[in-house]
Amino acid sequence: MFSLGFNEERDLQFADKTAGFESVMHICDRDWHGIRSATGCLPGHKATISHKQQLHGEEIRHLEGLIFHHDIKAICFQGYSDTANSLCEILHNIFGHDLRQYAVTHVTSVQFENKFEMRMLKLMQERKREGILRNLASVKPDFHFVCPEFTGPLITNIVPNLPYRPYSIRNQSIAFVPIENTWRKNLYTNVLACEASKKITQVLAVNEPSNLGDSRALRKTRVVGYQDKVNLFGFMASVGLVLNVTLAECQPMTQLEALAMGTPCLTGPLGLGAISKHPLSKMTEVGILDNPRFIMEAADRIIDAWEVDADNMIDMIADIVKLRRIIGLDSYRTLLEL
Amino acid sequence: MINDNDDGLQISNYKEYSLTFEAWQLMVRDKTQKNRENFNKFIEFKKIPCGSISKIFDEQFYKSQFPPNFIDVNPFFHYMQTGWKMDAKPHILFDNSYIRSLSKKEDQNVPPLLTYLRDENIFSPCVLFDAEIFIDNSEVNITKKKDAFDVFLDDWGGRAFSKWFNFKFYQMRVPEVGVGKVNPLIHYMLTPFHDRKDPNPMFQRLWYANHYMQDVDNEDPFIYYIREGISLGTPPNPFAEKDLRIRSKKLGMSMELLGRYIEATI
Repeated sequence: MFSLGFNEERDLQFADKTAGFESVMHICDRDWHGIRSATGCLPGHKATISHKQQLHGEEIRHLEGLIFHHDIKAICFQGYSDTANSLCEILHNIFGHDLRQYAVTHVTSVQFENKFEMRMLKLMQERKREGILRNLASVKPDFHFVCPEFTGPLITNIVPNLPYRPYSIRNQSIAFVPIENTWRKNLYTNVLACEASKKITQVLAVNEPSNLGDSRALRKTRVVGYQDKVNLFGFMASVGLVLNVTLAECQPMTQLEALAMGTPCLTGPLGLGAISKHPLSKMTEVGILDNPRFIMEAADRIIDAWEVDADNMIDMIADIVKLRRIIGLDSYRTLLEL
Repeated sequence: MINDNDDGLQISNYKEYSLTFEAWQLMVRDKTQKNRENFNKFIEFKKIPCGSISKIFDEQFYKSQFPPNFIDVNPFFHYMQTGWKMDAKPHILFDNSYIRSLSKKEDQNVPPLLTYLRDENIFSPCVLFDAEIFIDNSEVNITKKKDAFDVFLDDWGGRAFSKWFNFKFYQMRVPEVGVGKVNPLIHYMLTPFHDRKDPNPMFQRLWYANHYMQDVDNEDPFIYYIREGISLGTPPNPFAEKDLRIRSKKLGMSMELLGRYIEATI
């Protein structure tokens, strides 16, 4: 079966519409949802492939046709895989230097215990040394410390461009925790922080912090289960706060989606330069990640801010969304030599 | 001019001798006469300007369709009397079935070349050449649509000539064609079917032939697709339905939609 997708609705519906990216095609994995969602927010064409299987001849031929038909001049691999690597070489054989190719990585060095990530890093380095990939960039700040070949600018993700915001009445004292129950995602500490807060009246969690209820009562926590995109946005728009304080992160999509819904989102420190220096980021980036008290204090500050001056909160969110967009699009213009 | 020597009649410049329907009828009727006498009668008829034949009749190509030394008369005369009935083509780019599809009912028993030259509304000998597109992209002022094909053969000049055949795409896959090199359309038609490269980014010939031409013999998939496939609503590649977000396969795809999907962007 074919795995190639092109300009599917889900990859275009929240895309920024800025002109100047018509000759760009982003290629990402169809099953890596975080990267795919982040890519979906960008302007330009979107192709999807699968790390599970190499492309068939007809798919490569179709991609060649699409690149020609849409006059694509720059390919940006969002995330990397063996399939992406093969495709990168094939496209170079077909188009030569008439088609510029780049890669953006969405990992942190924390994830290098996974051998796959190290192997992909090596492949990207090799392609850059061969001149097939013109430049490498990352959404993780200072990635050149990890790998010197990453000389591209810090890539800043942008907020989904929603044509509308779901209608909802915001209950500012409710918190939403859409975190998986894995070690890195730090679900328990986030839930415990909400339970300890006197200002949070209810906690809506997508996943259950299993067995936590055995050692203490979870009075406020309600597990709402997996939510599709529409419902996820609905939840985010109706609460005062989203929590995503994970142990290791690049630029969490959860935060971007929350901001698109006009809701602040707590995260760990992201180190994103001007964005992390923004007043809202100073409120939402938590310094100590494995102590519920610090997350709770940050959550309480947000709820206070809603109560004291909701308009100011709305303005701050709008301002950071705009800032991310400006910085994000500029980072791509620089990387892709537009 | 005409050289009448031991090698038989040689006409070096057909352009001077315009065809008339009557002349052709005379040649056909008078089968028992020697070819020389027929030709003399033919050239005595008044010239009626209905297009030159110097470029559209390629002697070398015409003879190549027959065994060596098969034609012992003037090739053009052979075509007009016998060759057209054997479906021989006067030029590599001349599509007999295409011309017949455009010709009037009463002209079905007329050599296709004659139909092409006589009919003021037929501007191209094949579906892959569009006179209007070529004229629009031409720096040379071509006043008559009928002359566009001759100019194209003389000097293609790297200009777009078709909304189907994307010469830039073809050139990417066949570096031997290009301005100052081989005319891409001639190269395409000279290449055996199975060795031809796709001349359109959205059309996959091998896939299409395997899926939609099992009962069709000896036809170029791309030409077949333009002449028949689009009207049947068949997709040009395995991804067209997804690209066009077609949900119901029963309806097929509309000609307009398909046409726009594969039209050359030049």
